[in-house]
Amino acid sequence: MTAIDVGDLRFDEGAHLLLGRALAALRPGERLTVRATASDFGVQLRAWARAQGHALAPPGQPETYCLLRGETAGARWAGAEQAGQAGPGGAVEKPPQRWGLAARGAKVEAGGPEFRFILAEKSALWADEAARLYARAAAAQWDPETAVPWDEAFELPGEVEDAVVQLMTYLVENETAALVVPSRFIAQMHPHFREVMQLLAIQAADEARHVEVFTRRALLKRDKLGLSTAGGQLSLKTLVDEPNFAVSAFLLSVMGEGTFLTLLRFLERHAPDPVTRAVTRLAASDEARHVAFGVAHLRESASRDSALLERLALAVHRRHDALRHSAGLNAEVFDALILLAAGDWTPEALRNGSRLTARLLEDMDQQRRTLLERVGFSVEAAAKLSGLHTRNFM
Amino acid sequence: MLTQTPPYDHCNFTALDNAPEQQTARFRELLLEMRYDDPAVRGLMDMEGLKQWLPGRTEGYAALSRACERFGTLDGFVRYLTT
Repeated sequence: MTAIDVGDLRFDEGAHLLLGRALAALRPGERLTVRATASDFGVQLRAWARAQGHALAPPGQPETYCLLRGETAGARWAGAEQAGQAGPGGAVEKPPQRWGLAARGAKVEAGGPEFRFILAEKSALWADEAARLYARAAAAQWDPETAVPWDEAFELPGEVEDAVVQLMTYLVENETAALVVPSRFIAQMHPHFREVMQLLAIQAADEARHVEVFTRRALLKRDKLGLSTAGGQLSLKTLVDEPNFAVSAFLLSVMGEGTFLTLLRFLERHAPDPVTRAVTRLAASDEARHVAFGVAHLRESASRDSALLERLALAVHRRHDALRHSAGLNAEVFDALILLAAGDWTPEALRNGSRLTARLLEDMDQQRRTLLERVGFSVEAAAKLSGLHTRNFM
Repeated sequence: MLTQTPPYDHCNFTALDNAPEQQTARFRELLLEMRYDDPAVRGLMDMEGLKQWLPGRTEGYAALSRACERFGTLDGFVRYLTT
């Protein structure tokens, strides 16, 4: 027989915790004697015991109560399942929908609701590197307010400032696509794949900051933004509309953000002012992580699914065909790039700017080929697919 | 708290005298078969605050009933229902 003395502790002061702890150590039918002096203890105890499924034996002495541990006390957890293991290696291949939002590794009560997470297979979305990339991303979050020298004095010639505003307008539009696309997949993903979900969430947060700093740079000296073209939007819409996670990750993170990484580094190098230099540098450091995850995820998926590369190649062809009759890159954006690289309006400078911009396109192509080969494409296939990428860069 | 009545059950199913006997018996049987370790019915039992259904007993209500009559506790409610 087990006995506890709770003194004058009342039920609503936490006496039930002491009882629960003592009963947990007993088997069904075993007896717990409780000494308690609070005046309403018996009334409260009776109601509590009944709700918990414990029986109350007739009282013996005053201020002494006898509880018999009930059969059903642990019955809630009959049929409960452990939702994988908490650690990075603990994700299962196909977590059931009924595990829902439970933390990975938690014990899940049977009878919970069935969720409808469309992305619920590890092979379709997992990358071993996700946890490491997430930790790196969390540590690398920068504060737009303090990371950019907003107050540093500078004055650019009117057309150069216009060119910067046009580029920022273009960047905001593209970064918005890069925010919207992973966000949609976060909501479709089984939360069992915690690390991937966290990584996509922090990617979306990265893009939110990019949208902020590019907008703020555009409005630093002007009160209006630049131009948005139908062709640019059409190109981005193909990303927003893509329903398949792997294809979307490929088009956005490998092809698009891979190309953008080269663009942002070019802008940083040729930035005419300290603010433009800072915002493009900060954005590039984030984009590099997005590209790294895209490549890691697709390389792992492709090693498990031999038909994946073919599907990805097909998606590039499909997107190319969809955009065949669109203008692609905004002409103002391209001219703005030449002007920034040129630095001024002399014929010699413009020739140099054009040369550097042509070189940028070659660098972008080379970057895409390298990434495509890392995903698993042959040198020839990589060269061909890179050539079919949208002229809008993203 | 001035005093206490003996315990009484917090709810029960009451059938009218002319309720179909066979169906009433089957209903009772189904309730008594409900088990708290069955996730399909656990939610319902949780809402009712119980772990198990037990055969009905009305003895515990006697004191409550006497008190209601003496103090007219339910008279207003009954009038509301019948007018």
